[in-house]
Amino acid sequence: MLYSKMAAALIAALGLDQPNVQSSSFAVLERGNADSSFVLSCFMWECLVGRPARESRANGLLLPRTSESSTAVLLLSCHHSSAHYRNQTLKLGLNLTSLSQKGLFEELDLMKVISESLSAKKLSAELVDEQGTIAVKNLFLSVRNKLMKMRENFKSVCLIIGNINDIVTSGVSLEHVFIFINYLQGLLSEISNMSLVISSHVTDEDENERLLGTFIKNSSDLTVLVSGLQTGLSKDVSGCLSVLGQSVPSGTYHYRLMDRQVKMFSPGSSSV
Amino acid sequence: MLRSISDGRLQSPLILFVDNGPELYPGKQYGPFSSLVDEDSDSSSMFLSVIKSYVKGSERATHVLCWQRKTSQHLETLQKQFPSKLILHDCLSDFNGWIDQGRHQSHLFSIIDNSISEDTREINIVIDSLSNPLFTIGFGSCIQDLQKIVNFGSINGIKVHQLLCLVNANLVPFGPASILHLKHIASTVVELKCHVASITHRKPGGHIEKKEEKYAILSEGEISIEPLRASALTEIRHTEEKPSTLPQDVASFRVGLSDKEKEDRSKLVLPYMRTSDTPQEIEDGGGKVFYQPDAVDDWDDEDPDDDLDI
Repeated sequence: MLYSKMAAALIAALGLDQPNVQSSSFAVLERGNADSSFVLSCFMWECLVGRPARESRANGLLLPRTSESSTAVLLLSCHHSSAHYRNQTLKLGLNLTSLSQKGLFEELDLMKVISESLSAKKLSAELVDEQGTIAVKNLFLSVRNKLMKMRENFKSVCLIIGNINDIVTSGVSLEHVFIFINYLQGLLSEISNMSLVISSHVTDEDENERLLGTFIKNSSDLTVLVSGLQTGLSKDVSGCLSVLGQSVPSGTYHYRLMDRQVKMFSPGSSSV
Repeated sequence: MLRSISDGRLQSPLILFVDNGPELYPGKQYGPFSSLVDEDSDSSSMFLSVIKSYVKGSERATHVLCWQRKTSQHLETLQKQFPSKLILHDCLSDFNGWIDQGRHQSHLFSIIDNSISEDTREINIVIDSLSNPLFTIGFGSCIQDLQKIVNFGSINGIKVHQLLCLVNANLVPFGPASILHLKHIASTVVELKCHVASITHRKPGGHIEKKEEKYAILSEGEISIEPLRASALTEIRHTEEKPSTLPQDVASFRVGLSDKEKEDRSKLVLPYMRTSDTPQEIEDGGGKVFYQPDAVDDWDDEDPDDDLDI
């Protein structure tokens, strides 16, 4: 496949290219000025292109059969717009617009849904809290329905949430976000062949973000930590990426974001 | 003492395991992130190993409130072996009744109510992650329920022989004060850090027993426990208090030199380096100024201080 090397290094580091992937819940945490959206794009690439292609090859097929081996993706975007992910995945060789026409890809602007729920009326602090519960509950039920419909048509489904910490910033309490995550974790038992990817931004100064990051990490099977270099900026290295989990060997890598590729290497070997 | 907890022999109404693993982002600390998180997952693996042994050793039925998905996955096989002794409660699926209003749970232990038969005398309860309900149910409500178990040995008419729970010290509302409050309620506190369990057990008479034990998780998921020597403890504490700040741990390039590079460097002759000094000249001591005038220098042999009356 032409684009097989685009995200392959990252997918291999996460152990997603193995025949029996044991992880179904992933935490992607970004620290400081680092941007982890490329990791989410790689997850999308893996679900929509990488995995079906591998499974088809294993079954002796040249082209994947859409409904039988495909993984449908539902993206809940917060920080970046869906256009950002469309452009980013296009560079990896993935046209989300055409895939959404086939029903393989759906997106939901999470911030729009939450802000519409909270700013519909002028609310007192107590009502905002109550309204926050209703907003998060309705959001979960809507996501659950979408995933169940997708699962009826495709072999597996993947829910990707970009920068969930933005919900806390928009006025929903941390407790409600924790309940929302609990329910999403519960969906993993309810819907077979489902995987969950949640990304969050974490800073040392913000206690809520720190707690949210720790909560997501504790509830996930595998954690990907994206951070900048501690020594400053480099033209050869974009940042540092750590993989932590029990199903894959934990390790720290340096990565370099190129125009159409993510390169990964061991620390200190960027010039090799 | 850890062995007596895992065998269900320790008489204590509330045993609190505190995961003192490093923070998610250790702030100003440096060092490989992988080693930090391995420590974190180690505490929960250790707790699960204790629970497995606890279920086998205890005479009473053990109800496990699963606030972590991996707990039910790990204990599924054991539940099939001992269906009457181990009851798992999924607290993630619909605890707040969002999907089915009838499944809404009002407090921490209400999920157990429906699974208790009338002839059940006493039960044991395990909470795999107390941090989660402390946020999602409420700190005050959870503390009240824990206090009822410690003071009255029962909750909602159900007699509770023992409650074991694990809490992550970095994931509690209101910061470190909450952990102190929880430790105050518990009759036994097991602090986990760097494969060392520091146990503080308060006996009913008021006596306090303290022990420190080293543990390791074996490949079969069983736990090996051995008492800790004082020297080993000092060594462990010294190691954990000294984060790596070496440049080679954080740099994106190689900082050091190989032997070959060091040898080449020692052979390099720098420009303007004088190598003709004899040992005698060196022994004479004092300083010398070597100046080599340029071709275009306007050299003046006269003493510049000649006009001064010195």
